Amino acid sequence: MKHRLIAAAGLAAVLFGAAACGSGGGSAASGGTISTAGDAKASGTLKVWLQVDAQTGWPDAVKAATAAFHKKYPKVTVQVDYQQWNNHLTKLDAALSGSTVPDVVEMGDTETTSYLASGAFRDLSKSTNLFADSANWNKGLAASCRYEGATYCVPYYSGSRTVFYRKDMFAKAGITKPPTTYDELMADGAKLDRKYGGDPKFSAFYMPGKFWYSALSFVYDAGGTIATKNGGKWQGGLASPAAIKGLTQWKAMTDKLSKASKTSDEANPQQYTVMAQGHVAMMYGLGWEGGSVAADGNGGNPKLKDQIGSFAMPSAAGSTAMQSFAGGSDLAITAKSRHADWAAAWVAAMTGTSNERALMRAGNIPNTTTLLDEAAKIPALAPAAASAKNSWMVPIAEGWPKVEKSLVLQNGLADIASGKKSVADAAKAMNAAVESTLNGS
Amino acid sequence: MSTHTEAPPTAPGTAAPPDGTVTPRRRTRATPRLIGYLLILPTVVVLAGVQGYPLVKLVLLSLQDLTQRELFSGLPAPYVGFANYARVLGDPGFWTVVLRTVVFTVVNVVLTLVLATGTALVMRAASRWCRLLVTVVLICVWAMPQVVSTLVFNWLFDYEFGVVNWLIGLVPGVDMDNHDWYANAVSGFGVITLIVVWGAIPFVAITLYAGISQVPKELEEAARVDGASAAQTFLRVTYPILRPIYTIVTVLSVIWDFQVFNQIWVARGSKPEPEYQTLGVYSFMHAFGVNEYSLGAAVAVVTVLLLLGFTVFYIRQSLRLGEID
Repeated sequence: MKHRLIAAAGLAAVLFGAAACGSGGGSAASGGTISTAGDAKASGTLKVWLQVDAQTGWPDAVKAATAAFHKKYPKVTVQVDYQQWNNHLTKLDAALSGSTVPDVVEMGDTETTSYLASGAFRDLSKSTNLFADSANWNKGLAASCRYEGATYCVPYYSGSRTVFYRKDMFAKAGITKPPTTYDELMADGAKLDRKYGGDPKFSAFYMPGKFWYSALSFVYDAGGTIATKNGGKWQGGLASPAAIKGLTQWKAMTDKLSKASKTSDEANPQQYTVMAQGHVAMMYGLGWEGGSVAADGNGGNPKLKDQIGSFAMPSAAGSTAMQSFAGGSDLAITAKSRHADWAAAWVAAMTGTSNERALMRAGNIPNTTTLLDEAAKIPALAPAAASAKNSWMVPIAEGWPKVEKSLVLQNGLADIASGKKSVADAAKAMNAAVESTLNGS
Repeated sequence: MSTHTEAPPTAPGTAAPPDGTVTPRRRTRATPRLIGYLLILPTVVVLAGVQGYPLVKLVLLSLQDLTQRELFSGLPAPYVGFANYARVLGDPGFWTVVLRTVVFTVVNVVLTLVLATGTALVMRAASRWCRLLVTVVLICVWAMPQVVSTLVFNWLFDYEFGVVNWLIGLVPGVDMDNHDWYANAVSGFGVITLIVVWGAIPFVAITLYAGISQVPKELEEAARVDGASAAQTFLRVTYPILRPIYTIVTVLSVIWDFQVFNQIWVARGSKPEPEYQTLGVYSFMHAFGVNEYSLGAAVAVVTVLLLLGFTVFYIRQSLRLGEID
């Protein structure tokens, strides 16, 4: 009860505060235009909420953005607070209901819709020219910022997943080049299992049971979808024959090649930390995860330096590469921010071309197609850049964040992976839950 | 007893009932009573502010339909009467959660009380230095924050590198490599019960030890002389004397275990599966997980009512038993 009472007290307190002083500032501000011309005299604090990835992956880019911002607003203090993925929305909800709000917030591209719909962010439709190369924004990210024709945030970076593998293990198992077809992948997995099967912890391909970005890539690969909008109503696609085929392939692959826990996901434990322990030959991860396996510190293992390579996940349906989830982040300016000008200037600096190049060097896919072509020429990024062009996205629906937070997909997949339910039964249950949530019942 | 009429009441403000025989004293009593009220006034104000106000807000919230839109804009949320309650109480999933919570509570409270009683009896029988050692250990356990202890247990039972799996795997013929304790809700709740009971024993054991050490030795000696076994002595002599303490400890344990949250939340990596949801977790997931604040509030109110009902029933029952003795 304590937690709920505290939570309720907090909620009640912020509600009270919001009612008292929220109505005046917020609505008036969202109408005006934004100028990032700079002001040498302006002073105050700009509050920025970024996710932890920036703290560990590209702290220099954040510093560079703030330095560029200070050229325009030398007297404004920039306060960057780093947030954890698993609770940042709860914190954001609490903050947005009060009057002291962060000015800039990073949002996962699947988390935005309900916030766009409830008016949490400032409409930037008339100000997109303030941000670098906005005409060529990454399509998936730009779509996640758009609601009913208006643009509410700025694409920050995206990351698509590829397979990271141990070059030394492949060589010892007699595999000369990374697989390019799904059959080759499975055959190579079997070879690795023969070579290292004596190690009871060995996974040829590490695949935790709740890794939904991966399982759903198999669904899209087989021609399935999560849901499609049909005459104003969302129609679930997870129980379709194509989706069931994809899920069945995912389960077969998991059963055969992975000893990962069926009840954990890709982030808990961080899969790169598991790979760093040396019992994993392949994992399906983001660019920064691949880079972290051999990192010195943060759970990496420097002994694996130069032993990690990457290749695009081959399609199980026959075409060249498997579609990858178009994951990524956007930067939004809160509707209640009193410093939209400063916030826009900082976001413009953070997503500026030179900064995006720094993000690229950290293993990310940049926010514009112009830069994506550049990324394709960097050997380490090439597979990720290729898979970024061939990606799937969750339904752009107001109810989508609810689907994610209610964990129906993760729990349904765990049921499949552990064999608690048949693929068809679990798919049916997931489909029903997704459909009713998206249709707002 | 013979001094009853002569002695002035020792604590005039307390509940000692004046039976009206000493009428002249009544007037002087009004002032101390007023002082009494004045003295508890700050407590009442603080309680009303810290506990009462949020509780009222919680009830109001459970009668509204508050969504993110109202939350962010500060617009008033519409009142929907008992619609949230109807949804909660009409959901068969909710009753599964209630049943799970009740079973979990019963198992945890019984285990806590039995093990804590054992610990308290050991402490009485043990030598002085041993008692000191046990007390220090208990206080260390008690002092450990729940989140920290849960994380430690999580590492012990870890899927990839847990020491428990390694230890059990040492037994010949047993393969515990990559054994997932949480794959099955029964074994998963077993681990969670271990964490909860481990953390609950210190308070209960120390409280019971304090009570046991006050039981007159002569009573138990007399029972033993009359040929009672150790178990009989405890059940027939020690326990009845300790009953008030047991009542308090049981009620507190039920309240704690009924709304257990931290241990489950942390053990399941802040993503509890449906089969791990007890009332506390269920309410939180509704309110803050999927932003149905009002529905979560309704679940919380129902939880409070269930606990209140149990507590009143249990205390009345205990009092009645006490009267019969």
